[in-house]
Amino acid sequence: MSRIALIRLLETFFRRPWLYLIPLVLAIGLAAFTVTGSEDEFKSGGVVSVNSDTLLSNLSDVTIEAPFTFETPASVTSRRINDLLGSTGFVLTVAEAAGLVGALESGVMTLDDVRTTVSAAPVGDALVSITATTSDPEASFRLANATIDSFIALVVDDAVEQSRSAAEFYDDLAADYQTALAAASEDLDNFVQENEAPVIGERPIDQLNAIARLTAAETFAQDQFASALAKAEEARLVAEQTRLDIDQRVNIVDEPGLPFAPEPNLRRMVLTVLLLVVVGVIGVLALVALAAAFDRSVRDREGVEARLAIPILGSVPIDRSTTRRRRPDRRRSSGVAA
Amino acid sequence: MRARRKPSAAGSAIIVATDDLQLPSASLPVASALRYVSAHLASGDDLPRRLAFTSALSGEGVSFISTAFAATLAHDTRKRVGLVQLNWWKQDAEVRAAAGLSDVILRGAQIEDVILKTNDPCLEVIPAGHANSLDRAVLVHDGTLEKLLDVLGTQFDHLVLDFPAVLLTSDSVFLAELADDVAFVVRHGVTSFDQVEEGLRQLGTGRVSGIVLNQEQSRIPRIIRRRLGL
Repeated sequence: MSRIALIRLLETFFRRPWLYLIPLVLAIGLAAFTVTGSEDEFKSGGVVSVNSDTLLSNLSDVTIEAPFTFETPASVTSRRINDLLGSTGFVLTVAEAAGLVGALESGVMTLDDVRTTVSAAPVGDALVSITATTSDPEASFRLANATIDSFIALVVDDAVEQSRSAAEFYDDLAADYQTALAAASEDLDNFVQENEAPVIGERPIDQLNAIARLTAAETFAQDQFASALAKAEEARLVAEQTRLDIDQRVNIVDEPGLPFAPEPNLRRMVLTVLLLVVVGVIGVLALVALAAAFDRSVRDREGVEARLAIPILGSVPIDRSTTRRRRPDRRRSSGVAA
Repeated sequence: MRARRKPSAAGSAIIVATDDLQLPSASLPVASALRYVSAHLASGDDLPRRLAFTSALSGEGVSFISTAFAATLAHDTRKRVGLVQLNWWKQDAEVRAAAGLSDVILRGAQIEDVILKTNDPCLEVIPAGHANSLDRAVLVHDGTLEKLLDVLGTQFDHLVLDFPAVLLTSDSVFLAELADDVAFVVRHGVTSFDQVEEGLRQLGTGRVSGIVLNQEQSRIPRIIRRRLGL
């Protein structure tokens, strides 16, 4: 900042300091109102391990393979949780799991309240902290638990969905194959009944060929049916195995607990006050800068000499003692009329 | 004209008093500041014989500065100084009532009759006198004023001319021709740069010797100025 600009800003400020301090006074007032009006808040949180080699991380699409990246399993997972909290479906699920549907229906709490009170944040590379902060300790506890449970359930559902779909597909296929098998068996039986074997000697060659063809069709249908059944069973096993794996391998490091004491307010209060004071100071500076920008009056020697390129002969200070007064005993000695 | 001495206010101010006019006095800080003006204006050891003060707008303190400057100059140098008031455009009732140059030029009064002595024998005041709007143009453009100044120049070592504001009347530009040097008075914190620039432009490049900042008063607390080296 140039010397001229600094002088101009300071002159502008000290000309009407109380006017320019209004933003700061307002900010301090707001800070005082915020601090005195804030209620106690209770925080409940849990920590989930999301190591990249765990199934949960795999199922959470956490694939950290690039050699140079700032993404960690924890950051990806926490971002996903926060993204999910932006969706109505997940927040409703959390609220239902927390038993807060009544509060939502009665209007005591809104979905946005749930969103703003719950958050996830990475703790190091492999841990995710999920916290809920409300004015009610019980609600905080429930929300934290519900968020962790809902997220894990969602991850599990996503993981087993494919296996479940495969099982359903093969079940449907098996039903079709079963029908085909029954038809093939019926065709063979009908043929055998309609063409009884001769008492002496063998069947004619054409009957033998037909029976061989029908038998092969039945065998093929049976193989297809058995294969579909086996694949459906395999898909069900995979789904169950996935579920079991997640149950066994998801590592909740810290379970959310019921908070017994409110969060310490001092740090929050200090931060709030500091933030608002900074905002107030910025407001003061902006106001002074604006006023100085619009003030075109001559205020400093440097400005005159720089802008007008004309020397300053002198600066006459303000002299309050000097006044022009009409003299009551004024006498005229000159004969010239005015 | 009888001079009347007045006691010096607070023992430090240079009081200018006549029997007919109460003129502004120059307190010690003002006189001290005007000595800087005098030093800057001096070419070698000599000040210009005809020094005029004017401004962009009226109310910037030209009359005060010219009076205080004349009083300080007379007090310090003990030379004969004549304060010539030429501002017929803005006068208070007291000044308007006093006989002056307008009476000499328009009504045939003698110059000696309008000169007012002050408490300082080295300083005399030549009031402007009263002039209506029609008379003012005559006073400025009639050659009599220049001749009168020449006459006054023989009686005084220095003439300090009190001009009207440049943006108030174009006659200031013509009056400026009568001065050897013109000092431009700017009221601190009131007059805008644009107005000063316009005033200087009207007077013409090179005619103005410099600027006298009037009523300068920094609002920045002294401790801050000292800390920041301002």
